[in-house]
Amino acid sequence: MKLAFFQGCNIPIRIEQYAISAEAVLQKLGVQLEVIPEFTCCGYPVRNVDEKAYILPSVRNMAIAEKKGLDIMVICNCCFASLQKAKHVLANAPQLVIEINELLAQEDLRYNGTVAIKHFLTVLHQDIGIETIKKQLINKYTELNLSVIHGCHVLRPREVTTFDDSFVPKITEELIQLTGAKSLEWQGKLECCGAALAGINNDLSHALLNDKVDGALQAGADYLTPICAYCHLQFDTTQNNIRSNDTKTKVLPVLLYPQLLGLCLGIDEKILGIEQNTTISPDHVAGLKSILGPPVEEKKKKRRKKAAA
Amino acid sequence: MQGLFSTLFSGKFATVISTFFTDVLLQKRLLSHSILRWVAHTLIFTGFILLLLMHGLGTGVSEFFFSDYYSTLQPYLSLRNIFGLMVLTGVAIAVFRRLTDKPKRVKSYASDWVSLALVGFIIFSGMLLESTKISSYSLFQEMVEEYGDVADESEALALETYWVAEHGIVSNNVAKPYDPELIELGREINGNSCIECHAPANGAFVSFSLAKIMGPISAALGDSGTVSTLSFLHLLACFGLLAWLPFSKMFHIIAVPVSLLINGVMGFKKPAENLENSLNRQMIGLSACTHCGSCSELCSSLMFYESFQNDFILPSEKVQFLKKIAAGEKVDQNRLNHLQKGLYICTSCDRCSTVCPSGINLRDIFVSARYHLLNQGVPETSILSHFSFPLAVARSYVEDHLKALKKVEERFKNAFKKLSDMTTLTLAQPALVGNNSFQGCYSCQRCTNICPVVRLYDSPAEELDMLPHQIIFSLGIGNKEIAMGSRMIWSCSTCYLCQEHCPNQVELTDIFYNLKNAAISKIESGGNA
Repeated sequence: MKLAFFQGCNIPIRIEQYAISAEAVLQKLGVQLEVIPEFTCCGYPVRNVDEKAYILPSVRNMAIAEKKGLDIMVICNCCFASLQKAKHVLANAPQLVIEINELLAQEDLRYNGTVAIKHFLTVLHQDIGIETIKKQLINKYTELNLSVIHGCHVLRPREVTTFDDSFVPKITEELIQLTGAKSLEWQGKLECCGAALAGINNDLSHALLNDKVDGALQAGADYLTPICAYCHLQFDTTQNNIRSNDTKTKVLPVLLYPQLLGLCLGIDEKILGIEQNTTISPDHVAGLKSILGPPVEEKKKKRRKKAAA
Repeated sequence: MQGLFSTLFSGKFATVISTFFTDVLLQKRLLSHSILRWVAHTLIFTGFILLLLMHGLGTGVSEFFFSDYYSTLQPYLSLRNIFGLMVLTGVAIAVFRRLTDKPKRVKSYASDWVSLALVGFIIFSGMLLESTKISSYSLFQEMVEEYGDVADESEALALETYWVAEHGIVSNNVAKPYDPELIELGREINGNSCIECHAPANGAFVSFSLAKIMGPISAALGDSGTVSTLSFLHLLACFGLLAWLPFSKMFHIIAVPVSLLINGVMGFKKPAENLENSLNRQMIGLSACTHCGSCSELCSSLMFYESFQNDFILPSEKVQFLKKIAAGEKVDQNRLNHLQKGLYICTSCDRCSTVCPSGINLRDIFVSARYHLLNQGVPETSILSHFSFPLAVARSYVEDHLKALKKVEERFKNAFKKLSDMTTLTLAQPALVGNNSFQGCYSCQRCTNICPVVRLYDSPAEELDMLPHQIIFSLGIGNKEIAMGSRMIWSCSTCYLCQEHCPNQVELTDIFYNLKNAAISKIESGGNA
């Protein structure tokens, strides 16, 4: 399988390790990614200013993928939502499609709505499948508590994102379980990281962020695992900025899902760029590696099967 | 200076050397972007520099390296033409690209054409000059008088015949068919008198071919006059370029190598160690821009340019204009506001800095220009967008950013009435917000109860002006304006929990977005409540 890898604006320059670790994981699992330099911003940043300007870039990006004959894979939740939103809007607005296509024709592009937008987690969960990944696991975490923050824009509004059950999300949870880590029940799991208010109302943005970090600490998390690129920057960069200088507050380290899974697949931590996360120290990496053990559960099952036979 | 020395004597010296070869001389950054453009640039650059060294700087440079240098001898005669032809081919490709394959949306300014035209004209005029010199009868006569070892008129005629037949001289005294005996005699005299300094003129293959066309014209116009006119034009173009150089993009010849070397050592991702370094680099960067448009071709905000029709959204166009401002040119307020918006509609993806063939740290230039203008001019409403996010994460210009936000807030205060300022609420038809789902609201307040933002405040109704359900209610009775001015919509974290949990499918978050759009567009159009 080959997909067009939509990285958005934040990942290539600020969270390179997210793209590289996701690519490494998918390569192990037989999915090829093509980075298309012509992709532009998804449109999300302009949404407060102009809804139509927000839609347009996503349509062009989809038209580019259409021309290449590739479906799009996204890792940033906000990019994912923008692409899905554009698709959703255009499905009900034929006049707008004609209008935008006139503009796109100047670049010899055309939007027909045939491209599928897949989240990285959907590719893992549906296209590759939990069982296939399980077979490739070399290691599993024996003891690891995670506070996953699912990210708003991948779940909601559910009619637009059509990603998962927006109240009881399953995909992310099952993918975490697969690695042997425990996804904690904690307040904030489905809530906002505060990124959308950064630079507009920093106090409020920080309050939302602190609320999440405190909630995760209370629940006993070892690490925070954000799915969205914006969440990651909030937790990995801004959390460090606002909490590391204060003795009263603790910084909770951040691990990205492909980094987590990558270690279980036997991919080198340097390739996964784990230490590129601002909140991660070499001690964290050593600690993580020390709690990796052989995927015991699998063997038991096999034995049982053998016994049954 | 300290930085210069510490760089030179550290491990970075190797970086400087390798950058000089790969980036400056071989133009690796340009090659990775476009092969055609690399070919054009390399042809012009190599051809011109070699011409400058071998021919332009006079005999000094050439004789220093090659003691037998003489401009009318081989291989110099042919080399000059080869180099010239390289430049002309490069210029032709560049012109072709500007006309057909130019980066979309990037404009060509007069100055872009002037630069190409000047370079092209220098070479072309040089070739014309050479061709008229080749064909010039009066020059030939002068040379014969000075160096020619001719005993009598018949020998002179023989030499002349030979030069007409073989070296392209245009003369009225000799006509076809040439007497082969005369040519042979001429060749002999040529061997004694001329050959020491004159290789066959057809070695200058371009000029020699041109001479066939130019010769008769130049002879008709008076050859010595034509030669001096062309030589004047050729020199004028050369000095014209020299004069044009510091004030135009041609200055990139000097600024780009510096910019590339700095980029090679420092990259652009890490912030500069001190302000002076950063400012120096920005000034060099502005001079190094060749307006090639690579940045705009890959700009993440391309489509925002289509939506807002603001040239300054494209990085290449921003730089052109910032150059003018940095040079102290007066710019009217309207243009400045446009520029400010263009600077702000930027996703901070840093692709422009990554692709720039001149290694300009555009990110630094744009961010500092942005806050410079935000401090001076009209408050920029798009600061209330997620374009502000990367700036908040990077924590650059924190104080300036807050100041700019305050200014925008003031504009909102002046433009919209608050719920608390009103003594009575009027009842009217439901508001038009491009989404009618609010009419389904039955005031269960589920939205307000689940809102993570509301939860963070002690007295949310006061601190946010209105609560989510109140906003929906106010729309129901036609009060859009107070909703647009409420702090609630600008405090919305867009988490969509309210919308997802609404039992009656009111699309609150989407409606808030529409209200934000309407508020910004009202403020931008200068409307007051």
